[in-house]
Amino acid sequence: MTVAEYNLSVDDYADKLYRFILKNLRSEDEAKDIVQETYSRLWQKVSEVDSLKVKSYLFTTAYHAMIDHLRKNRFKADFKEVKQDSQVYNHSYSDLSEILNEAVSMLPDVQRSVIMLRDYEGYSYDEISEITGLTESQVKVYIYRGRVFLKKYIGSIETVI
Amino acid sequence: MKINRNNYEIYFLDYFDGRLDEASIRDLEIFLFDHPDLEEEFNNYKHQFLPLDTPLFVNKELLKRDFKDFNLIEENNFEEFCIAASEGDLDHGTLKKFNEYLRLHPKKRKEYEIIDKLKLIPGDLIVFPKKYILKKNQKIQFKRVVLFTISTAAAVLLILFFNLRNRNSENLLVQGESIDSYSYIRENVPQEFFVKKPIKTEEKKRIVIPQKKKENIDNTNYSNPAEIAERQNLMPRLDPIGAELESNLNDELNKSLRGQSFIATEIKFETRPANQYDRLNLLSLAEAGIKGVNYLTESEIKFQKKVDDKGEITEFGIELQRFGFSTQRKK
Repeated sequence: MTVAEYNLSVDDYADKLYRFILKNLRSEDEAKDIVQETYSRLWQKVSEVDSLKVKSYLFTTAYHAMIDHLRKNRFKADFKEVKQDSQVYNHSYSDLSEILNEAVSMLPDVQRSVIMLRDYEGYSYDEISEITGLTESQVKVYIYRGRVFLKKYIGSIETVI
Repeated sequence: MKINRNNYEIYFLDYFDGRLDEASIRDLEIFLFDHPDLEEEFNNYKHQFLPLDTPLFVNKELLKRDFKDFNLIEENNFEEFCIAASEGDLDHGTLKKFNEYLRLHPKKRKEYEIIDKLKLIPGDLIVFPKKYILKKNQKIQFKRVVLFTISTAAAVLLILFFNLRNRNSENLLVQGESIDSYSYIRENVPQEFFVKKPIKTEEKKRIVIPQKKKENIDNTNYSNPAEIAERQNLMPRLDPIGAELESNLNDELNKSLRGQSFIATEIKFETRPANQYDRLNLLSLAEAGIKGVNYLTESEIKFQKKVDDKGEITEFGIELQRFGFSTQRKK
């Protein structure tokens, strides 16, 4: 890709990348670092990356950088350890998206990333599979389990809608 | 633990399992060197491991199931159907069956609508601050040819610029008046260019030294304009003055005698009409030099000049593909 195409990718995807990482890490400084590191790696391989696949390259690189960062710095919970029944709330919330964001933050890192890639970026199962290194079946399972978890987390949702 | 005859089997096994570090492997090698009777046993260990193979289950995909394989939508699979419908994973036929089920079970429809809303919405405005720090400047990549072009043209033009800024480059350097003395031609022109007939006076072209310069050269020898030109740092005409060339001179010599045609032929400079005086000055030489460089290197360097309202040159410049530079003319 050319320098102009590289700069265009900054305009097109820097915000989306930043949002994806920030929602996962919940730290602006760490999210900025990862985005900068991602673009730095892209620049190193600017002549090898196809401009049509730059979004996928960026998200793949950022995702793996984020996971590495999480493994070094945070305790991660396996999905199996999240007790489904313990996350039922009966509070009345005024904003569904606020509840969903809170619920998603409870998910383990990989599952949370998968749901975000699906909802925020509209990636298909095989695209998410390529980014995360999971199989397509694994992606589907994580999304399905995530949706079930979100439903149970919200609890009595009649008070919300 | 040091290897010895009581524990060497452990070392053998670990070696073939790839669990020995470099230091242990060295110890093992030394041990085998000291105990050659165990070498055969060591080699036999190699063949005691089962070969690693991964047989594949053929047509594994046929074992998989899809939503259309469900005969009925029931309580124990309804939630999964809802998510599948929301994710767009149901084919046309299965979706139709699911919608029919919802029509017949209104309460279930409400539950589906809840599940359908369980999607993150990127509504909040999150912007990466100072995005410009991620961007890169356009790289100016110079090919060797361009670099050579630039350096050559710069070298040529720096010399000319130094003169152009201090001179009125549009003035003629020399305007013709023939040499008074015919003997000068005999003495100074190479024999092969020597004319057979003396030139008639009216046919002579005239050299006129500019008025200003004349005052400074009262004591000079007017019979030697070449010396005058050199002293005054003027560029003399390249044509032999008042001379007609032998018709039997070869083409190469002909070219060398005609300054403009030399430039035209060797450097692909546009020829001027034959009925005009040759107006060679520093400016035209600079332009010719640029054209020569362009011709040799297939570049597109442009030599430009800016004029003011009075038509006087105020600035000279060179323009290349990606950048340019200019210099103002000092008055």
